[in-house]
Amino acid sequence: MELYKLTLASILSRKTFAIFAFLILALPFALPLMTPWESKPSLLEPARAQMAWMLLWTSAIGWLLFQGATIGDRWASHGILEYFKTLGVSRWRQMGQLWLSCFTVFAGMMVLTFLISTFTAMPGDPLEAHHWVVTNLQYTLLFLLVVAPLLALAIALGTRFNGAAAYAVTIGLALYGLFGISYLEVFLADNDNVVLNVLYLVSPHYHLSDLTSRLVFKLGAIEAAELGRIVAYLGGLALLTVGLSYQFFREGK
Amino acid sequence: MHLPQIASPLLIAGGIVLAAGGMISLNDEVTPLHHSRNAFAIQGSAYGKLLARLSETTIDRIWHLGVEQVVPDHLTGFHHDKEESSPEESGTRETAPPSKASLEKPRTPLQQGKRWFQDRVIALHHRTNPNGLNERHLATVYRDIEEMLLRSFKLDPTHYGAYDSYHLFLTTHDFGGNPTANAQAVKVAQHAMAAAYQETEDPEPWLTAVAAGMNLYLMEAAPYMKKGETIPLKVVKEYREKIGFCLAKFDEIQQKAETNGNWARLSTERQMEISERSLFSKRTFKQFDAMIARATPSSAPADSKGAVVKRETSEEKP
Repeated sequence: MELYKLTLASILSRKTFAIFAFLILALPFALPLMTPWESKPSLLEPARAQMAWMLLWTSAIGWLLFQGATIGDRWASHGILEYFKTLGVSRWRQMGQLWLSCFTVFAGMMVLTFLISTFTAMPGDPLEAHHWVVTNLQYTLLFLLVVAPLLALAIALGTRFNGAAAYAVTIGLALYGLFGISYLEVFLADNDNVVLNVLYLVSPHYHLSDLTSRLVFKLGAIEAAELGRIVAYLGGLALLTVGLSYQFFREGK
Repeated sequence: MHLPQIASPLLIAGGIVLAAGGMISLNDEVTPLHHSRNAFAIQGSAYGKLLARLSETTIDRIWHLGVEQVVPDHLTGFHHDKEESSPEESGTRETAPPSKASLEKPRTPLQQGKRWFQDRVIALHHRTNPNGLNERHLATVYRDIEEMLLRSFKLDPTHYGAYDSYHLFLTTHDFGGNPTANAQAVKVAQHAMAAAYQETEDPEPWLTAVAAGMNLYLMEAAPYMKKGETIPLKVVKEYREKIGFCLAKFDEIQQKAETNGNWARLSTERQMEISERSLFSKRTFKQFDAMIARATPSSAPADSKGAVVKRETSEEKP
């Protein structure tokens, strides 16, 4: 676990995570007050949960993937990974330790989000409160299934190409999966082009993990069978991404 | 072959199978792979309400610079609704910046400093080209405005400004109103009413619903009025009931807001604005009773009363 410790120490000493952690802690309480809530105070609590999750997505895309990409790039360029290879640390282990070091810090942000979203916006009604907690847990699971493999990909691409390229590819994938697909859908509405339709089907539908509307509009927890299908789909994408990341990962440049 | 070596291909193959399986079962459902088109639930949330209000300035700016071709009021810092009156007149306004004589004289150095910057902003947006926009350019400006109005309506369908300005844009014939736009206006009004019907805390959306109901009534009555025929009593009664319900709901929720303190939290300007709008709606609503009363004993022509309603609603133009 030396590589893990080394990477974690490096991330902690850079301190950029503190900016995002602060935003996650402060903005869910500050920004809802800027909305026109005066005539409808019940807007405040869902807005808090909504902002917490939006900031977690922002931190994942803006900070986590960037960390992964630069760490992969830096360690591969500086020969650190080659050194660990000579010590007998396999490629899987190296990738796993790099992933875990980035994720250790990010896990703290996830816990903060979960706590803010669950406990500062909990509905009063016991049944709704139960649904609220379950929805937050489901959201956390789906979020992990999207973000965790993307981090592995960012690290692996960083070790092979450079940090900027690795970051651009992963951030592009994440944004495309979350937002871009909706534009493709509009385009496909009156278009029977086979290539584009196939592209649509094989696109990573990360937007399926966005349960924010279930929280904001108090739709309740997603049904178990449906959750199972989404988990299978996103889990499959996750395995695929991790498998591909291994192929991209290399110890030296 | 060692496990680490085959693990990656196994993961890739297994991942594809699992994802495909998951996707096929998802596609079986009524709600398949489709994108919600509302990432992070912005539309309709508290932030949607905020963004809908913020977008008003952008739309205002483009409307004034592009269509009316004058300096937007919010840039000058002096609102024309105080000095100038009806928005119909504004279409024929001159392209000159507001005359300084009509503005208050700045007194303190702080005010003078602010005025200096305002004057620069006005000069920055002052049209010196004597030719206006050509027709095709104007058409793209209209389309841009329509897109922005639709976006802001989607962000907060219960917001009076967002709904009514979009409705007026769609139904005013000079700005591209046509049967398709009218059909869209009906859809938009129904959507605005449906959105307000879920409201139990904030009284204002019910006034938006009243405006939407009134617009729906006018759109339904228009063909009769054009032909000079009497509007069927059934239609009048139906809308009297719908709009009456919305007004009653507004009063009920507004009363509740006064007791629980929500009303007191609004600024005096906002309170006055809402009260004025509700008074106006109630005044217009009374026309229904008059129309029903006049139509019941004998079938008197209703178009004259319909015209009264129409004139009153057109005053709301933002």
